Amino acid sequence: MILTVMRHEWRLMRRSPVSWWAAGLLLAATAYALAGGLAWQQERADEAVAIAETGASMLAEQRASAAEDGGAVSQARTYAALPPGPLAAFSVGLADLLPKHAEISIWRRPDTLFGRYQLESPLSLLAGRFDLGFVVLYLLPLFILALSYDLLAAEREGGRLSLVLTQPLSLPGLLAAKLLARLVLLTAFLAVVAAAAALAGAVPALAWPRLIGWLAVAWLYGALWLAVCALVAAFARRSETCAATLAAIWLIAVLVIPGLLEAAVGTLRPVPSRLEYVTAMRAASSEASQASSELLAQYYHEHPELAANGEQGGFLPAYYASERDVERRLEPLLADFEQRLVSQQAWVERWRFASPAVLAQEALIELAGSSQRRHRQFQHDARAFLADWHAEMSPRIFLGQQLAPADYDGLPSFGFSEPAVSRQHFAGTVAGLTLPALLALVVAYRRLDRFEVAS
Amino acid sequence: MTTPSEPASAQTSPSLTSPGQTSPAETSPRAVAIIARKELVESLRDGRFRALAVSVLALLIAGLVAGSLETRQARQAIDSARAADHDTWVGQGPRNPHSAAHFGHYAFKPRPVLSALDRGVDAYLGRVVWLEAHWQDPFSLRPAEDRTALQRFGDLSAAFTLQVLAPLLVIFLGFAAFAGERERGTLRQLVSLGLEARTLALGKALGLGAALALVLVPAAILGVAVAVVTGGGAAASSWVDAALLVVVYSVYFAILLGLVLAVSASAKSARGALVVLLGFWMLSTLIVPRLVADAAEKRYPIPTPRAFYSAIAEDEARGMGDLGSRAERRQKLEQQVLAEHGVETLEALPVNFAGLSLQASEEHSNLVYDKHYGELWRLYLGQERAHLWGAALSPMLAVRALSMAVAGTDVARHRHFARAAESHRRELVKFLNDDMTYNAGDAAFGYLADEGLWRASPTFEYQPPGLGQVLGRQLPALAWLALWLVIALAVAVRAVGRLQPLPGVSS
Repeated sequence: MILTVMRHEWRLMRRSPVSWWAAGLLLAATAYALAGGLAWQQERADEAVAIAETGASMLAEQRASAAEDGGAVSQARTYAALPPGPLAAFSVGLADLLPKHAEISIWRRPDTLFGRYQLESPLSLLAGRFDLGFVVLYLLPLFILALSYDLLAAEREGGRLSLVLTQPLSLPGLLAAKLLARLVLLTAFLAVVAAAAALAGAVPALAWPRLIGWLAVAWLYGALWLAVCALVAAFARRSETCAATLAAIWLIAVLVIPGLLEAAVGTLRPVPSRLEYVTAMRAASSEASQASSELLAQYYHEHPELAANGEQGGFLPAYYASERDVERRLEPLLADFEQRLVSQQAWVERWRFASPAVLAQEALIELAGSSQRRHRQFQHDARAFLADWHAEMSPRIFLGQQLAPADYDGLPSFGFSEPAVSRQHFAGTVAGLTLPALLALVVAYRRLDRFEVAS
Repeated sequence: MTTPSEPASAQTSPSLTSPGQTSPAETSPRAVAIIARKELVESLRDGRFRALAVSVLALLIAGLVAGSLETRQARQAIDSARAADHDTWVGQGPRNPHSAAHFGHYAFKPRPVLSALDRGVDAYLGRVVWLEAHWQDPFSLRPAEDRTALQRFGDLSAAFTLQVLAPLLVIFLGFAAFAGERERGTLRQLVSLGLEARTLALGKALGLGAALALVLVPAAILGVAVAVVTGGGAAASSWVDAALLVVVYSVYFAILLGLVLAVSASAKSARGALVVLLGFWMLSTLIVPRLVADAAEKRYPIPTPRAFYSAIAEDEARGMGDLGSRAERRQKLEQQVLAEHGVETLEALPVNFAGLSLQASEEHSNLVYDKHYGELWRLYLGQERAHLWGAALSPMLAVRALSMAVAGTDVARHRHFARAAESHRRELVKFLNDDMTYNAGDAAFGYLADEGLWRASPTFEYQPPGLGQVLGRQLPALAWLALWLVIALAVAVRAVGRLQPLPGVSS
């Protein structure tokens, strides 16, 4: 019987222009988003390769010109590049905003290695991306609402509901069949997305678990919206009321709560003023530069092994010593920023349960590899690389040594350690989407006992 | 179809109006006032409208207050950072002028008073720029980089609430205006009273407008007050700017009201009207802005940082036009200077050659930056224009452009500041190089200048563009807004003229 109702539902949808429009728009939006995402992923991958190659070829050139008398330590420069996330084509997240490459040389400090990257169009950043994440978070619920806002009301208004229930079918059974019919469509839609992405080559070999996780989150998010439709259907009498109530719920969940959380996190977990940081950095630089000769003397005092080799002083060692002093002084400030950003993100992760949209977004960008956490990992790795670079170069600076050709082979190299998706975070998301859906269904079904079949 | 194709066929279809039917009693202002009052009272008694109106008003107030506090704080932070930067500059101690030029200045982009109402693209553009020798740096410290991914849902600034959320208030207020009365059969009764459709429409528009005004007028008053308080008396003109924003948003809501009434008058059912209007809302606030951003990005692609800066480095090394490579340029300069002073060697010059050479290299770099940054600005502004194409489908985009421009948080304002900062950088670096040229003598890079020079160096005072200049750039957006107003009025008048009093009448 349930199967009969489901088939009947699909037949009704096939006859309704609204469902054709909605399905057409959703599929067109999905295809557009996937194509755009693929292009973006390709661009980002090419760019990361090009940056890494530029870095390597700069070192190779210096090595070639260093053949005779050795290369200058001050000239040795390379880049660290962040490859796109494993599912970059799915969610752009914060990947268009945050730095994706770092310049590594003795002239850089941990606070200055990410520079000259802020060219992205401000208007594009303001508009936001039309990626699959957007389709799932915003449009998929609207599609579900368009197909499910009058699960019971329209038939009740038309007086057909009591007729339908003369069949060997209970009201809960009817609702279950209607929900199942839509759940099948949701599953089919996501299967199409997965197949299209896989065929288009958007999924790297090792990213399958991430893809499954991404689709699972999208499915649970859609299913939750379906459960909300059931809840509203069990309470509201008129289809107009259903539509207005669901539109309001969508608005609150997708626009208002995230906006309020965004305002709250800025107030409750403020990041220290970057302008004050600039002031502190300038003051430290000025003081260190005025005291550079003393700093250099102190440095040689602390590292007598470097002073052994004759000449002490010159511009580069003095400048370098003053820069390390600036770095030391700014370290606590930089650590404070790091810590505040981490605590900001932790706050959002705690409060993400306030709205399914936030919950799903956090999980989708985490799985896609375009989250703030992944970019922080890159910043961390790039700073570690810079520290290795300085450790390799600083003795040569103070000893006044050049880089011999063979030395170039021994220079540190950059590797990005892709952070794993936290199982706990993922389990929290799954629970956060499943439990409210189950709760909504339970409440809806208890309410059905008192549902007036005829008006 | 429920609408007849020609108004002339009025006698065969139960259309409300036809020319000549006018009778003075029914078009009287009194009839309009009665209808308006009825609409207003009905809206106010509707619990759903009340809840929505109170929510929108609460969000607006919260956005305005939070924006005002944040803007005040930011303005103070900028003032103190500027002062501290000046102190650091003056107190840098004895130093070679070129070393001082490398140390440079920071320019801090001012926060306009009205950014309390509309942050525009402010979060996506840097707040400071380092003005150093040799390099025109990009602006850094973009506020968005310190925010979590929640920012992708949009902030709840007053501008966002007005542009995105408040239109839903208009939709929920008016979707049933005609369609609902038709379904309930009350439209037929009104017709039987001999009431003109125009009177009815005018009354409804005024009544719904009044209901809307109950939310928006307090917000507008608060908005102007916020502008004054945030400015702290510093910017008297922010009154005018805020008042202008009130006008822009009023026109926006008039457009929306016109469209809502038109759809309600011509839809078959209230449900149908709601679906069409929600679809329009979704299209104009969620979809079109993103599609247009993609189109603008394709039409005016912004280079990657690698491509941009390596092109600059290439032009630096190879030389602009036929100026020759770095070494050739230096040699040419040397010959020219020697010839000018009629001496044989650089040591015999009465001026320091290093200073001259540094300045010459700056001037060459300036050509390079003018070329590349000029091109970058052309792309950004091209994108800004391209975003306005979307105004054909989304009046919000025209309103957004105007709102950002008047608030001083658009791309054009950023460019205005960036150019001012860059010309200050050039002035400052030239000042320091000149000191090197004329005062360093043989000491060259061993020469040290002192606090007197730092105090005498040019200071940076930024003057933002006037309102006339701002609006002059926004003529296309103004034109779009005017066009939408005309279209909204025209479709409303047309739909009302073809109003069908009976539900489900097919022609």
